[in-house]
Amino acid sequence: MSSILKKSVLGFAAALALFGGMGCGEETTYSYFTIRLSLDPTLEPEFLNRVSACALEVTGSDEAQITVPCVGSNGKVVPSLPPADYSTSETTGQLQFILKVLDLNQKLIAEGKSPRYGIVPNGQTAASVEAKKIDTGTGMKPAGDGGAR
Amino acid sequence: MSTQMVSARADEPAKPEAEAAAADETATEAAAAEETPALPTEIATPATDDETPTGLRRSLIAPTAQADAENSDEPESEEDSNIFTKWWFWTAAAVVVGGTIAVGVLASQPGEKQARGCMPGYLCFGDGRE
Repeated sequence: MSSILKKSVLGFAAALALFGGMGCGEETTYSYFTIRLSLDPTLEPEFLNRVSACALEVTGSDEAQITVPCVGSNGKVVPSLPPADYSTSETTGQLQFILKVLDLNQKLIAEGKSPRYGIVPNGQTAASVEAKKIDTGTGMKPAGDGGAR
Repeated sequence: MSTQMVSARADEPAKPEAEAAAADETATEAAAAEETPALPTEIATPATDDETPTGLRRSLIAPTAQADAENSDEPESEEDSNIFTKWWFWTAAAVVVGGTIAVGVLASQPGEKQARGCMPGYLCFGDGRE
């Protein structure tokens, strides 16, 4: 056989080793977080009527976001938010969960931040986050006042 | 030749004319035999397939082909010596390239497993989730 053929065989072996190393180098492990979501129970019904959407964000060693169905088909906030189950392939670091509540203008009116939770590979961590009203400082008067000027 | 024969005849006693003619003919044949090289016996007596063993036929054919190959002093042409004109080179190249691609595609598939299933009523998201 010629040297070219030998080189081809060597190249094939090198590519095999390269791709093999890429595909089978390490096995993924996941860390799971079960997040209990809730809104401040002291929020007034008038405030809740302004809610149009909710979202859960993950920050820290990993980042993600998901929409939380907090408004029912009747246009009102659901009595209880569904829990979330988050998985990450990160093996170190910390994660924080942020629940955001938006009004019809996509303005943030309530927010809650969870503590920072350490990532435990192959572990299951329970987390919770509660959204509280944000003081926007717009001078908006309480609902009991009727809002009339 | 004729001088020798005349002198020989001069030394010897006279012979009958028929005997002298026979001797002359024998001498002519001998001279002819010296001038003409002997043909190979194989060629002189070609054997048929029915009466010649296979081994003998091979011995007749193979040495000839081998001798031709050995005696050919002509240098290989550039086209013959070029590896890119060899069919086995392209076959090997196709196998190597195709094998590399196939192995690469298979090996580069995500080796990570899917995350666990989503429990009913949960909002599942993150890595390993579809």
